[in-house]
Amino acid sequence: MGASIYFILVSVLNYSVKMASMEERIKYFRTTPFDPRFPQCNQARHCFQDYLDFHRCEKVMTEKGKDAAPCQWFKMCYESLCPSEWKDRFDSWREEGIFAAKI
Amino acid sequence: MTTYSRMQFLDGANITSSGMIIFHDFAFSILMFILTFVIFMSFISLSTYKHMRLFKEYSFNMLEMIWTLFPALVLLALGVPSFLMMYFLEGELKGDLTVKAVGHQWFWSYEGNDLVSFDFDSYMKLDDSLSMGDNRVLEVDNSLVLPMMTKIRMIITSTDVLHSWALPSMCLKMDAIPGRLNTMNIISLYPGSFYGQCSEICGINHSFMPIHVEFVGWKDYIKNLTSM
Ligand SMILES: [Cu+2]
Repeated sequence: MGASIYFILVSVLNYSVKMASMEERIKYFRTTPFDPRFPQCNQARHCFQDYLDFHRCEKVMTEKGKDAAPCQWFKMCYESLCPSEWKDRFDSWREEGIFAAKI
Repeated sequence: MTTYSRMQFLDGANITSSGMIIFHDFAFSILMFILTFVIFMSFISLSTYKHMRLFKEYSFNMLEMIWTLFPALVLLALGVPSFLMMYFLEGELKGDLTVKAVGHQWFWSYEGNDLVSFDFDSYMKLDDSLSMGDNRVLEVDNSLVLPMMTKIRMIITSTDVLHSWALPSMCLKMDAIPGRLNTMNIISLYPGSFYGQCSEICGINHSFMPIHVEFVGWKDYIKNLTSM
């Protein structure tokens, strides 16, 4: 217990100093941000929604003949949330035309 | 890592786990005090039951006040830090980094797609492939490397049956459930290597799917990522 108290004091004192600075974070870390639509511990729906958003976005952009580069944001989001197995399964469903939502 | 004859928790590696250990010890001291006090008082009353009629004939306002207020204060002393810890532990769903741990029968595989995509399986090292100083049934062939001092969002899921991803040094444990992406946060303030084991009975090799996480400085982490 004494070690724990000491550790808490030391780490609170050092915490702000040692954490990666904002610049470093922007440079190196790029991951899905918090989405207020999915505040729960289970992020499965979040993964699905981002996957759906990416393909909807791509479809709309290509129909309008615009550059689909902004859609890469959704791609980054779903890639960092979904396990690769889920992504492969979604892809195969989409190819077979049995995906659970309308793209 | 827990070894034989260990009586206490592992040393906490971040603020939340240290807080939990402190709270456990605090609650335990109160429990021990109540236990000894109750046993002591029961022996006292056994030996002096002949004088108990005094309580019927006189009123002891001060005494009644004390034995009403004291338990209330004890409950308050337990409740306030308990709620504080509960809200402190409640993870946020954001992090600087997302790492996915997928449970399989009977190994873990880790994925990350943030900076460099990686995807590897981590199997337990068998007894004949252990080198000197390795821990039996805790060492894995590919361990997960994470940056310390960084808020990491772990996503834990499974592909077949229930597993549980546990890291006792951080006081963390989360079930891996097929079809769910359970999320929790990990921060380690230490560099070091931490061991855990699958904590949900998942089949015949349940004991042989350990978890080994190494926390390094984040520059070393980037180096390790790019070399992977
Ligand atoms: Cu398991």
